[in-house]
Amino acid sequence: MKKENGKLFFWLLLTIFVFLVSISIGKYPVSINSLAEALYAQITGAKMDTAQLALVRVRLPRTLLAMIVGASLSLSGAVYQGLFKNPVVSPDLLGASNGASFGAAMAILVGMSSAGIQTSAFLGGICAVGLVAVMNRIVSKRSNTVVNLILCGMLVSSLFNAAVSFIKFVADTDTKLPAITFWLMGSIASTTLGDLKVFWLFLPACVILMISRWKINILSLGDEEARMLGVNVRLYRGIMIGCATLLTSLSVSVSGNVGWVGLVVPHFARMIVGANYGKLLPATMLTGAAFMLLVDTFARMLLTVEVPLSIITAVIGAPFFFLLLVRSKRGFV
Amino acid sequence: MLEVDSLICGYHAGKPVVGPVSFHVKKGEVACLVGPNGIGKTTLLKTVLGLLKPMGGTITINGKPGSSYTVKDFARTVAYVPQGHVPPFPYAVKDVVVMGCNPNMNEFSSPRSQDYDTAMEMLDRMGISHLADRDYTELSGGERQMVVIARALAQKTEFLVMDEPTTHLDYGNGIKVLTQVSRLADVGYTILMITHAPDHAFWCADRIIAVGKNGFFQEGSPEEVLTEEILKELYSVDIRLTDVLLKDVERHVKVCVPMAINNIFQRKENL
Repeated sequence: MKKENGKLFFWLLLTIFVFLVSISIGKYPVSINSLAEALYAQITGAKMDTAQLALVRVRLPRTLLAMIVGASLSLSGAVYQGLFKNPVVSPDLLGASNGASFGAAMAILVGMSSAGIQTSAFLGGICAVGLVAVMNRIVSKRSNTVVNLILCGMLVSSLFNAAVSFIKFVADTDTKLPAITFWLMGSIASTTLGDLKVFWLFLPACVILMISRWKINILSLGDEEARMLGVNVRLYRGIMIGCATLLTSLSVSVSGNVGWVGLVVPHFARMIVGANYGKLLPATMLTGAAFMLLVDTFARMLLTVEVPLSIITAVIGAPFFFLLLVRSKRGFV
Repeated sequence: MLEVDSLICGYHAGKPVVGPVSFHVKKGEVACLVGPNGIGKTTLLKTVLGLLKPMGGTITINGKPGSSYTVKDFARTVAYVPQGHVPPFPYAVKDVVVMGCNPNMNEFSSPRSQDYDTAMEMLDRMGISHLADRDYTELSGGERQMVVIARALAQKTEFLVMDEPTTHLDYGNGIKVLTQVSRLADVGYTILMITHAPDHAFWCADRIIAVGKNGFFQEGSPEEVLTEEILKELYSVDIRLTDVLLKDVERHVKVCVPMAINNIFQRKENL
């Protein structure tokens, strides 16, 4: 137990280190010292030069947002995997991402504010996951296999995907279509300090999941067994799926559709700290935050223009997942 | 004390699977539920556990109706040992056993070191403490069954309900599990279990609950219920009960021998 806590502490330090590295590299390299000065100036209200302003107003918010998005997607992936008793489940596979994309695209189409886009994305995500859960229940009455859930998820995903395509099709090609397309590819380049208010959604969902994380171990054994072990299955599952869907939707609503993170990061964390959700969930959160920081750093350093996040996560995620499959002690399905 | 009175069980209204059945299991007794495949033994067990709503009749546990227990209270009173299965994630054995501490923990807390102590104690009681740090998913079927029993013990209940604890086990592991079951009854556990082998029921049961086709139901001591006639009624095969003397310990044991063996031997002789 001591050893594993040590591992988590090491992980925390690593994440902070990645944060400091990420914030100091970019088109304008910044030293840690000047970061401290800029922060001090921001807090005291002292006058800042251009570099300091760029740091506090542009780079700091996007770095923080990258951490929130990475942590959200990874946490929700890990929680979905446990609650649906299936290690290959991810927010994208369950339709939450596509549902949220649909909600957001719809909101952009009708010209809602950013708060409206976020609300709409959240509702879309909840709808999609609810639909998958209901369909899975109907199908599983006859034969209860894990494949059902994946098939239902694919079905709902492609349905919402079609809906997104339809919205793009009818959208104004000069203004709305590029906005929707770039938004869906995923970017946090234009983050402002104001976007960080999603933190106030992230925080409660994250706290609830962290408080009840150990119960996911029991829930992953199945409904009947969990109930016999004294867990109020319906209550816990409802709250946790709600929180995970909130996290997915909020990250989609600020950064677009960033795939792979929710699938790969929990497995990576599992490889390091083991399957026990008591340790796994904090490790997943930290790993997700660090991973997304790296991805975003690549996104702004790789070319002279910003590369969409989903391209980088797929390029890193797919081979990495293959590596996990090859190395895993036990099959994933 | 577990009392079941004219209980009718099933999944769909109007289509009862089992019942009505009435029986009671006293403190420290081992009751074996026997019957052919597909007759609804598991359905009956699930109803007693509160996972299915009874279609009629009552279940009383320690004087209180089963349905009046909260989920947590129930898990403090009755522990369920499912058939050994593989969870989707490679949890360590001690992490699986510590899940049994859940009903006795605060709602939002994670297991503390005293809970892990309980888990280790139960693993020790089952004689498998050497497995504590292994991955549960990599154990053999027999070892997994022992781990799940240890988890049930960690619930510190009075009742244990087991669904065919010996089914997927080899001969030796099956006997190990049965020995543990009777040991647990000796220390005060009240046990209700499904078993497929009538021999096992002879060895460790104080009470037999037999359910068969066409609403057949019989309850009583092994000597009363496990007769040649009733075994034939249950399993549709001719069975002879024989007394075997274990010479080195001077003990008589009842065993079941299927008459079909005679046909097999006859055919071999004729060859």
